[in-house]
Amino acid sequence: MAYVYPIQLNHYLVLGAILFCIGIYGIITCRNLIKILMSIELMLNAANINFVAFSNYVTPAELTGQVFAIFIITIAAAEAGVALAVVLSVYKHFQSVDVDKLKLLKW
Amino acid sequence: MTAKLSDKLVFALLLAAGILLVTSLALFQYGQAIAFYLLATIMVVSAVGVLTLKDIIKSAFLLALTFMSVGGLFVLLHADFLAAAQILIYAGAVVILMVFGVMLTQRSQDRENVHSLDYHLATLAFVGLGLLVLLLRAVANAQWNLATGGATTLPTINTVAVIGKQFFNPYILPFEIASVILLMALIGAIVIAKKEGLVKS
Repeated sequence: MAYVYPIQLNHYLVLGAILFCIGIYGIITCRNLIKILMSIELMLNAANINFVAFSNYVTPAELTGQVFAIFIITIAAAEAGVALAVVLSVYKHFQSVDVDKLKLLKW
Repeated sequence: MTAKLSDKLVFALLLAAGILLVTSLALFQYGQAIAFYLLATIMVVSAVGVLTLKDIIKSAFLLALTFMSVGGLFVLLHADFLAAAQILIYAGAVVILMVFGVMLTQRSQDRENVHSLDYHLATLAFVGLGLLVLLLRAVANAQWNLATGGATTLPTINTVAVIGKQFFNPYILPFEIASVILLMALIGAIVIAKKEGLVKS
């Protein structure tokens, strides 16, 4: 009988779901702009875990998921750079990165 | 006295490494599971720590720990190149960017008093948990089109060559667009963050 590995695809998918929900929770509860950015990075990493898990278990020869994960890493790096530039610009304008104090748009 | 202490320390470390080696050899067939659960625990705990710690510099370093454990998971999934890229780009570049952002925008006295929202915390936790339950239900019910043999078949040994061929045959257009996006992000970040008022003065 062939040895069955104890860790299957669903383990990684559950882990990705947990990390994604931690990121969502961070985005809606944190007031600091930089912490919100960190939560976004956590969510992108959750997507990456899912892509690489599918790449390993569904297409082990073509590695399609890994190619997509590399695209996600590229976009995430670009996003982090631009978003931090925006944060710096916001800080210059408002002297704060607290989301509650950015009240330019009043309704 | 101190030399003796360091000798004891080295001995204890060697002993611990030996015990670890022997147990990992003994538990060889469970090695994957042990590594997975260890990395998963580190990842989830440090991700929660990123959100809950008051000092945002500490949460930036915990973010680096999270990214490194994700890189370890990539190693478990036979994605060696991606694990290296993960640690280089995320744990290296992105976390350093975050630390620079923190240091440029927060004075050390108001670093401490950045709290999370206190009100509606229970509601928001309920929203997060509800999303988690939905996702877990979807994972449990779905039928995936798994490759024959699953993870028992050894995947591609040389992942870099396969990924490179994928980039140049079917995914050449997204690859070029990604490079254009990187250039746009570079220029855009410089334009957004540059000092205003140079023209006035």
